[in-house]
Amino acid sequence: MTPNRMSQLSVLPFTTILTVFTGLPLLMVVLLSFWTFDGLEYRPEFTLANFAAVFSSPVTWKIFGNTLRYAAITWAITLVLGFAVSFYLVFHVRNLKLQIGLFLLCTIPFWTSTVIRMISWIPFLGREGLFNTGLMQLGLIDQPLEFLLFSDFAVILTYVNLFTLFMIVPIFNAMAKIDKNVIEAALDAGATGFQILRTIIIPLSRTGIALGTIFVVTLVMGDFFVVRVMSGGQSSTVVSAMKNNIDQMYYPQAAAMAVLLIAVVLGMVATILRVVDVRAELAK
Amino acid sequence: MSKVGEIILDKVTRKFGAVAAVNAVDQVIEGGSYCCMIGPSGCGKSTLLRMIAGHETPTSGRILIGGKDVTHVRTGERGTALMFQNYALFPHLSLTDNVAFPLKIHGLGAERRDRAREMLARVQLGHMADRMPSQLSGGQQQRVALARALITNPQVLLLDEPLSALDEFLRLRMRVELKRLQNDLGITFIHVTHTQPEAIALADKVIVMDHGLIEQAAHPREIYDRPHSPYVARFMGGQNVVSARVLTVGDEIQAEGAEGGRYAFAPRAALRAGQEIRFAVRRDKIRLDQGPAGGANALPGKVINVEYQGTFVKVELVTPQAEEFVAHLPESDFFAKPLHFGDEVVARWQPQDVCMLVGSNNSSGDALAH
Repeated sequence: MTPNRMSQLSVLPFTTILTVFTGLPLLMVVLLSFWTFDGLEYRPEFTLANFAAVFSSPVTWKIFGNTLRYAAITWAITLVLGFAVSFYLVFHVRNLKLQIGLFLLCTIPFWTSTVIRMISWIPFLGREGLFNTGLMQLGLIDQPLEFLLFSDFAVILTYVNLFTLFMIVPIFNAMAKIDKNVIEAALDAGATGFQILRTIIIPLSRTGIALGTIFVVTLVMGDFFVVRVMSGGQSSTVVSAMKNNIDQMYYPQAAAMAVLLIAVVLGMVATILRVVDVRAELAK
Repeated sequence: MSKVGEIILDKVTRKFGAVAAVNAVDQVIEGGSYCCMIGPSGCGKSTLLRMIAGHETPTSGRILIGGKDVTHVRTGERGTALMFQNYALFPHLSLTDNVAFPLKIHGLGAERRDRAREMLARVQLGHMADRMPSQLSGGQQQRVALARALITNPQVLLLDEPLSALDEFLRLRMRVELKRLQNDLGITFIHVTHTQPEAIALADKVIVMDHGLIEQAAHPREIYDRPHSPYVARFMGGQNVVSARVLTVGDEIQAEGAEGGRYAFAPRAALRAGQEIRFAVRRDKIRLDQGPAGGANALPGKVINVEYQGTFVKVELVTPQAEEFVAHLPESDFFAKPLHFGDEVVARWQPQDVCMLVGSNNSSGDALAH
């Protein structure tokens, strides 16, 4: 067997899984979005009515706006946290064992399921929750804080809690590859700490930032569970709107919305990859 | 020699925990000189260099550059530039931006790129100004590092083992270029190395270090010809170290080796009878004969290795002196009467070729120990 044939064979299982479980369903969704639906049944007749309905509805724009807002805020917060944690681990913890230990500490929340981690915020943030009770007993407030739970605050908090690690891991990885001598060379040129951060560390961490951004943005854009539970049903995103459509058997409209969402996310990922050549950087 | 670029080390000490990497070092390095610091790894030479550069702060003592106390001045503000062993180029910047970086930090506008290009042309890389560091060979990267270090017109250029990552051929070529550059610029070069021929070939002053102390600091000829201690003699090479005990002092020192050999030489230091001494004899001052042993300044031995070196022949002996003993014989002498493995010979030298080793550092100075 030639090496070429061998490598083709070794990618076959993964190719099969991707094609059968991702490629074909995706194709179905795209096809479905052009099918005709008359309120009772849908037929394989080409129509743009689903897209027209989606585009003309003000709700669509509202939920897209809402989703993008969640994504942007979560991205900004996880980026700052992820960068700061990685920076601390790479440049301040000199001891490699301690560095690995602290890194593993960051992953501990991931030993439990997402649902449990999310749900466990509820008794903490609720009206009679630990946080409110604590503040009231300390005498800092006399009314429970209402915005803590079933609000945008709760949604963002949960996203940040769930997704920060996806920012930390790639940024840590990129930062750990920075040659310490390069930083000393910048110091030798007279650069201040802030100048080094801006001209050396951030540019050299950009692969990690790009990968982390892709992870966090796609995770937030694809979520409906967190937003439904943590906003108490008061807020909705594209996927939760899609779920409503599906619950009401409006499959073609849900498919049209899915196609739109995929296009938006692909556009964002493509933009990121244009700015940062992740492939070339990872190959180093 | 001017005050510009003059470096004064005043009781400079750097401790890491209880260990003194550099221990109360006093030294004056003249402005505009080429100074090599040499020693086995862990001897403190790199720490000393990093303190001069400002990447390390002395635990105590002062460092003066050009007459100004810079002990606590920030790195980059003290008129020094450091060239790193692995070059430490910025991987995300083009050659021009790499070289222009120190100017950018100092707030220069667009002109910085022109100056960077001029500097790149000076190190013969003008045609590669827009490439990235990863596209260059090791020798080219080194030139970029050199250009980046020189762009701020430093008083002192510090080089941390600059040639160690290059192959033999490039190393010799860059050595010549460094020396020429130093002549052209007239600034102080301080070059850390663990390669003896490099230090001897380049330096106006060689500083030999061991265990955080300066063992000897002098012109390379002085270091090579008149080593201060057994350690310097062994580390710099080219010498045989012989141990003996003083028998009589007078117009001539008489000494006896543990193996029973008699040694006689002119007194060069205050010695007393019964004192244990060590002295050095250069390898090229040794003559070998196959006659009977006897007489002063003779050491019997057996040939264990013969290496032809082109201009001379290196003959290694085992002798009753429990230390490596080597003779460098002129090639014509050797081939007139060749020696072979296992031959019994007597090594002889003249009294005036004996160099008393007054320093007490008796460590092996094995250059391979790192």
